[in-house]
Amino acid sequence: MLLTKILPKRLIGVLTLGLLVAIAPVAIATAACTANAQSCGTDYQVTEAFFGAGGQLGVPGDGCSDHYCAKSSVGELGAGKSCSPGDQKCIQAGFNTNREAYIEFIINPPSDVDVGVLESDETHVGTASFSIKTYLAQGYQITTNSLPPKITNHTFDTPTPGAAASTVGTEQFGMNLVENSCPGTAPTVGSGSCTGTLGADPVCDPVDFCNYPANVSIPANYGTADNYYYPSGGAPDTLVTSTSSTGFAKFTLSYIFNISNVTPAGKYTMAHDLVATSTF
Amino acid sequence: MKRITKALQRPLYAVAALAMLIGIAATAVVPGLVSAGELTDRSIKMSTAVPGATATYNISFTADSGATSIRSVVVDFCDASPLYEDVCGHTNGLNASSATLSAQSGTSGWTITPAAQQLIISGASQNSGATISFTVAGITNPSPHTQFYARIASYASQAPATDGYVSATNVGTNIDFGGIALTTTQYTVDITARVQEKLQFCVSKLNPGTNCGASGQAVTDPELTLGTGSPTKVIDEQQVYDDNAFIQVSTNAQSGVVIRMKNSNACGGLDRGNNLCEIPAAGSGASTAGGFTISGAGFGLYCTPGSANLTAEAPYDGGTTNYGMDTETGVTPDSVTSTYGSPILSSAGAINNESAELVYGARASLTTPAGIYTASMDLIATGTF
Repeated sequence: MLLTKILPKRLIGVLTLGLLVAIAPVAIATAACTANAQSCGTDYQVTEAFFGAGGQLGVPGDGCSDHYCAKSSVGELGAGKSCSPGDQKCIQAGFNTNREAYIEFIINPPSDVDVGVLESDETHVGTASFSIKTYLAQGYQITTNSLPPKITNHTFDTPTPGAAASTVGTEQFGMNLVENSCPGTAPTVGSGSCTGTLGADPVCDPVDFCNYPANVSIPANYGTADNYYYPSGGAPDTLVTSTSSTGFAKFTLSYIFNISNVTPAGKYTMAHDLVATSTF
Repeated sequence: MKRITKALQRPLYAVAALAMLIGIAATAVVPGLVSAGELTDRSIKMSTAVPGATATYNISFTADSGATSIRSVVVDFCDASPLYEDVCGHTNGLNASSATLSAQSGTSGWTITPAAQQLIISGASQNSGATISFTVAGITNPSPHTQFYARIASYASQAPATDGYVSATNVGTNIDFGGIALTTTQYTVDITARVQEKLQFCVSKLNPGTNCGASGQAVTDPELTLGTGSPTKVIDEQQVYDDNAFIQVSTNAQSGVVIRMKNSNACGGLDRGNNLCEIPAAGSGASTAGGFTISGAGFGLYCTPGSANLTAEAPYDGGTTNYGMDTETGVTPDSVTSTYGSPILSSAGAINNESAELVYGARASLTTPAGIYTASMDLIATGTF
């Protein structure tokens, strides 16, 4: 009762206004949102909501000296990542999150695949891998954009119309993104050899939030064990489609090579161009 | 009581002011996160992720639903951020100055004005809410490898400057805005495989299985005895007596293979060790196409290819009745007594497990001296790669 008398009504009003201003940036944006926006109105959208005393972004002009930057926060009310089970819908709480759209795509070293001298009575194999991480995305696609291995006057034949099992003695280049058995005609030593298994299923690597397998699809041409495919003519083809952001997801490519008695001689090469595209 | 009230008034006003400052500071410290409208489903698909390569970019987005029509979009490429309130630094190596608009969907008739790190695409009115894509060719990817960004803003005017666009950080009055992250790759998967030149050739009495008997019928020794009778076969003037053998050849020689034959006898016929050639070459050793009927003493060969991938050469192309044995010197083709032998079969290109039957025939005359007549036929395959 004493406090009420001490605080004039106009002071109470000012305090209330101050609090309202503090929470206003979020409170105003309450209307239905477009996809991937955390909050929005008919005329506004907010990509991040902040409750707290503030901080610095650690970018030039905000938290940087001439030589160093620091990303800091004061009075964070929440921090870290929370995800729903199953569909892995997550939120990143805290001021120290990336506020920009983000994509990182790595062809993991070693990235040279040399399968040696091919023989018509053997299947030679090789593997490579890539990893992707993307933030604030609705999803991503990874495509292959290269011709099959070739020499000047000849490009390796590929299975048609879809993925096929390895066939020794028939000219054939193909790949997939899953774990396979070693082809029975693969050598067990030397370049292009295979022991145990060939390739690997996709994994989250390092173990962290990534959206495999919940929100990732691999076409049957590249997702069927012991069957291999590659588009002829170098037409772009989708290897992986995802419908959400992801922490690092690692995919392993398994390549197979078969030749016939009439496969032209030469050193076949292929710079396998893989492209990652995120949709924001 | 009045004194207490007055004593508390100033601190309380200060608290109120501080609360207001906190509220204002919250928006001041987290700047520029509110935009007029958002381009949704936005992406830029690159045709290659190789740093420094010339690429085609497919720019796609869905314009925010609303009443305002779009007449232009600006795409600014930046090194470090997709947000228009952040500095837009130069993306090393990226060059869009020669870009061309090769395709568009959701619009028609739009044109492009490229610059080193910017594209302005404009045209007739396009309603908001549409899904629009532009295929832009001739953009040089950043180099070295990097993550980079694109800022896309749409405008009601065909000239964005009319709507206040100044730069990537001063976008004026845009209808929609959206940022996109892109990346090249530091490495490509470099694949190498070697195929060696290959020539597989065998001669067999029995027709061999695949890959010269690696499966099926094995290769057998082609020891041929011409004639009739038992236990000893003999030839006479009554007819031509023949026996056969087979060749099989596989090669990746792209310009084909030639099989040549050499006769160990200098005369080119059958000899009983005295080099008198009393059973001479068929057709007097001429190289005439179609071969010759052996009507007197003579020795020759005809070839029957297993498919059209092999061709019998003259004079060994006489079918099942005519024989040849080229002994002409100094003319093309070479004879069976030349250094490299006489061509009997050939292919135009690479062939796989092609076989041919070789039929050797001989006939004696009434005056042919008795004896054992022999010849050793050397068959040689030569690929042209």
